Amino acid sequence: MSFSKDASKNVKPFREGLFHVDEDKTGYLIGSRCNRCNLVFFPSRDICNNCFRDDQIKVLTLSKTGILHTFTTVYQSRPGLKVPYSIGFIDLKDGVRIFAPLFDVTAEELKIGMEMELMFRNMIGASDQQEETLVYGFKPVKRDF
Amino acid sequence: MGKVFVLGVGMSKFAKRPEVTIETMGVEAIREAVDDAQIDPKQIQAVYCGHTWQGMSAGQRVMAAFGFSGIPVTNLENACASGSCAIREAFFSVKSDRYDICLALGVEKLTGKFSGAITPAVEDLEASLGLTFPSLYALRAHRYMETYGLTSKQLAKIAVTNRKNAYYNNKSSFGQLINIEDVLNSRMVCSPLHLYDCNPTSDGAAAAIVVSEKIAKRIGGKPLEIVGSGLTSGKFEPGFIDMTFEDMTWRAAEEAYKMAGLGPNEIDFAEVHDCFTIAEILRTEGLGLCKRGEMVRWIEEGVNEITGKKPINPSGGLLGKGHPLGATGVAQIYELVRQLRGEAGQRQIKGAKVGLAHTRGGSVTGTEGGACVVTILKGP
Repeated sequence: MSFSKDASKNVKPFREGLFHVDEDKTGYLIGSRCNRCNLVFFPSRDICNNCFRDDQIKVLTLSKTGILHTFTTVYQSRPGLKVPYSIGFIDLKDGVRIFAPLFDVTAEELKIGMEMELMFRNMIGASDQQEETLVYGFKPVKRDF
Repeated sequence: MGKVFVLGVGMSKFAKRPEVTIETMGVEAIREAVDDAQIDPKQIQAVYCGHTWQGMSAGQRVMAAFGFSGIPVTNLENACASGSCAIREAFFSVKSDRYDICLALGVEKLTGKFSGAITPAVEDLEASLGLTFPSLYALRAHRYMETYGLTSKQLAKIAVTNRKNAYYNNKSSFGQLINIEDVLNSRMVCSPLHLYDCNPTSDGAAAAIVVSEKIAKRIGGKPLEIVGSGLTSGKFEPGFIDMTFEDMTWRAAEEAYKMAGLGPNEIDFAEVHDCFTIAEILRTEGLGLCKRGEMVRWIEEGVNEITGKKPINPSGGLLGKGHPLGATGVAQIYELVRQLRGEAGQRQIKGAKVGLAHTRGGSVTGTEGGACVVTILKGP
């Protein structure tokens, strides 16, 4: 995929309602939680899939770090997406698993169990759009030893 | 509500055939099925046609080319399970005494339709962010390797086995005698899956004549009874599901086993949806044919080979025949029939009495998947 290094504030999110990004390019994913069923949803749901009610649903700011549950590096994709790129599933302590692109990491570096943190980046090709849009993703948490 | 039988089967050779239409391939399959069943084609009372991308009224177009039209035709789409759904609808139609003789048809033309990897609809969130069908499986492969110690070589061995099985199948153009190194040296599509870990692009059609007990008795021949059928769609999966186990495969299998009144131990062989090497592992376990994590040992010991204790994909599967989506499910029934009748030639499994066919297709963000169908056939 084609990524820019910065998330510019005048680039639209690739999809509405999934995240919020501030002027300093930090942001968060928007989920929701059903307190009756103790389930967390991303994307956010206004009706719980388990009890089919909305009275215990609360919007939730999801945690910004998680553990890499699994990953892959893609070398062949649909037209409009530049390869190679990596994608994976990240488990957040909120109890929800997020599918997302993985940034700033090589295929060889990727390991199940890595600690990952949320970030935002411009992308060409999300949702089949030719223009740049803003997407979320995760990158490894850098530890200084 | 009587018994239901497959009376005859046919299929076109699965191959890249850019110049050929689904009408031509469909007619090839129907003609062979009608001859195999020894019926007059005008006895067909209804048609169920499975396909994914062939456009409106695909079933009717094939029937018009075949030369017999004006009867009820229903087109079905359930991604890779479309053809199996056609079999299932024909089965229930006959079982409920709606019709006595149905044609279940599956057709798909893929060459020329896609460039690059096939993905779920781009409206789907994960697809918009870069998920492709191969990557869906690659993600599970890494997880399975981490959990059970599966190696790339063991994955590759499944490709070797299924391509070898297809080599002895005159209905496949992709059969080859390759080795593990050939698989590992082929280009990486989506780590850890190499090109040979993925099914080749293919066009094809397959057909089955599904009849009531009354018709099977009257016409004779070698009918095989459909004793079980299960269909599920992916459940919503909040929280952390186990990516090394395919729950929807198990739920479809449970329904089929219950209907058939038998369990996984009584299945002699199976055609399992091996769109990628890892898929055969996940599904053989998901069907309950072996314990979780046990496929690693099965691969090493050749349990899944035609000569092994539990042959998987004797036809060559999707890895060996390609995967023309709508046709695959019906082509699996073709193989089950040939095996159960003792007509499988060099692919013949000794003493095959009960066969199982499994397909699973589609991807929907937040759920386990689109559709999964399990069908069980019993020999005479």
